[in-house]
Amino acid sequence: MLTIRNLHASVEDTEIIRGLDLEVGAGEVHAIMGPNGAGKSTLARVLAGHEDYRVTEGEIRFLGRDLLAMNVEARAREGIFLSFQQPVEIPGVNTAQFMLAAVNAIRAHRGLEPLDGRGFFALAREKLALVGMDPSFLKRNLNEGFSGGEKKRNEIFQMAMLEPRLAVLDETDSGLDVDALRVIARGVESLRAPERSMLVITHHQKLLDHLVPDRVHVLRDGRIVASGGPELARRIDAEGYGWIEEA
Amino acid sequence: MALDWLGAVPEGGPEGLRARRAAAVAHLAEHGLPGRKDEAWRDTPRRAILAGRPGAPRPVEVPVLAGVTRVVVGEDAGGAGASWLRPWRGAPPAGLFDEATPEAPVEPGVEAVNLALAAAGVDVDLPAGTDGGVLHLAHAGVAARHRLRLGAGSRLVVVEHHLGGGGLRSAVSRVEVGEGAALTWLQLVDLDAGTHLLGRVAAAVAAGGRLVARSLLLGGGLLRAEFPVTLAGAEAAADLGGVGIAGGDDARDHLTLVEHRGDRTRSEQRFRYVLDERARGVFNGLVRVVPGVAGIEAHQGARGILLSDEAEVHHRPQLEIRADEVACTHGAAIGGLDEEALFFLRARGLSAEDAARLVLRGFAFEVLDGWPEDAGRAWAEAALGRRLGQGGS
Repeated sequence: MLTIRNLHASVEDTEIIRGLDLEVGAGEVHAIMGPNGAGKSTLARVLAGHEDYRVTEGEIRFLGRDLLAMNVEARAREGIFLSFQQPVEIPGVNTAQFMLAAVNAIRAHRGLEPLDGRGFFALAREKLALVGMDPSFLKRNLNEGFSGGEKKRNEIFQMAMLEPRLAVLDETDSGLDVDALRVIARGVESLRAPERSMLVITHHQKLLDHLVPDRVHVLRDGRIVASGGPELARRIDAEGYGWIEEA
Repeated sequence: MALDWLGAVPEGGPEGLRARRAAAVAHLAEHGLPGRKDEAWRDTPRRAILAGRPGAPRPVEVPVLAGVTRVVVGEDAGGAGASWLRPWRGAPPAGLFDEATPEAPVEPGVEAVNLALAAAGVDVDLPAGTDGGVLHLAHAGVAARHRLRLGAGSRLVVVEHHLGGGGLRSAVSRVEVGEGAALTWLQLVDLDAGTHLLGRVAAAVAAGGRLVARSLLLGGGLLRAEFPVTLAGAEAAADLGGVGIAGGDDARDHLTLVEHRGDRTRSEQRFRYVLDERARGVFNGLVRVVPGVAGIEAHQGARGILLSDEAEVHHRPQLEIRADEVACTHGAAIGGLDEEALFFLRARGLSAEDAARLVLRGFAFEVLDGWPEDAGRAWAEAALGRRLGQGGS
């Protein structure tokens, strides 16, 4: 599904990712953990194609294709989904209007007929239920006045609507209380599928209690320094990162 | 200053009216429009208005809103189906030109131009407790001067609609909102290229009354809309919003002056500009709180999105506060499109163009809040969308 080889990436001439290798198979859930400043969010934004992040070396292949040759929207249409750590508020644009445009952009790319209003609302209601959101959310301006938890639920709702092949969840658990975390983890878990992979970036073990990963990686100074199974996340939760020596 | 750009000054009428028009013409001949030394006109590109005499108004088909009282200003005169509504043409209702005091000084600018040119309008006298529904005032060419008086507890929605091309457009409305009355004023200006508008809605709101005004300055050359509003009685409120969209060398110019004269009066102002090419947007907003009033709340904000390096926006939000118990905020922001918002939308599969269009649409459409569906909201949305598509994104 996703192969990253010797990735180097910079923001404003500061190298953040320094030789990262990662292989995520179809249907796998990989967790990326690591201390602040390790490069976790940079990795997420590089994968999504943010133009402020410059790849200086290495390659990323997604479903066998050169991901770095695609712009932001092409990646999204090919099936990359980034759940934002800080979802953007867009005044004056209601959630339904935005979501319909996004769903139909991706459907067009997949050679599917656009959804009409009725089809859209039926699908949206079903997906909203996954994250315990009321249909009235659709009428509200995108993320405007949403609580932190609502914004994160909205991200997972969007993921459910867009049915990505690779979902990159950038600290989707940050700022959530225990109940909200459970709802979101359950929502994400329900989207697990053999043809869908996930890269879950998190600081905390808690999310991984609900969403058990196939692999856990520790990112430090822009490289993966340790990899293992779910037990690695539990050990980090108990002991921190200090014990991990560079691999 | 040559006056030929004004177009034809109407003739005839009672002596007082003729005297007022003559005074306005004399004022304009001597002073012209206010210049750069006048705060309220400093950023207004007057060259556009003064560049030459606009052609005669061209005929335009005025659309019809179902279930709405409509007046095509200058065409309809006499009865118009409602006893409280009297359109006039030629002979204005008494007092509208202050003709009883012909020697009174002429207010410069928009008022002077309108005094000289106005040849038609409506006189509305809505009885207390009456719901007047929606009144569509279609302006297709003739300079207009209106008077509206809303009795206590009455309600009215006015769509001030400017359409077509040719002529220098001018419309001045004098409005009194009675105690507990509610007036919604929806200004939709969608003129042909090169047609200019000098507009003004001067309102006094009595205790407990409420004015909601929306001003969409969309098509045309120089469009200036003034909203001097006096919150005269306790708990009177004004909610003013506007958007200006322009490209080319056009200008969109709002001026507001909200005077808080009553206790616990509230005002809210929200103005937006989307400017491309060499266009200019101007927001002059003054909130004045007079001495001795209490419990005042006033908020004012203006934002502009510039889509080219040569476009300009000039915001002058001002507070003039002479009382203590006052909560006032004002702010202005100018920038390009929000890059993070564009990234977010593109990361959901929208093209860069569609993302920009959606962000701009959201930015501009927010000002439509409070525009009722049955008062031509669909026109407003269509016109706004069209202008954003052409000169905006």
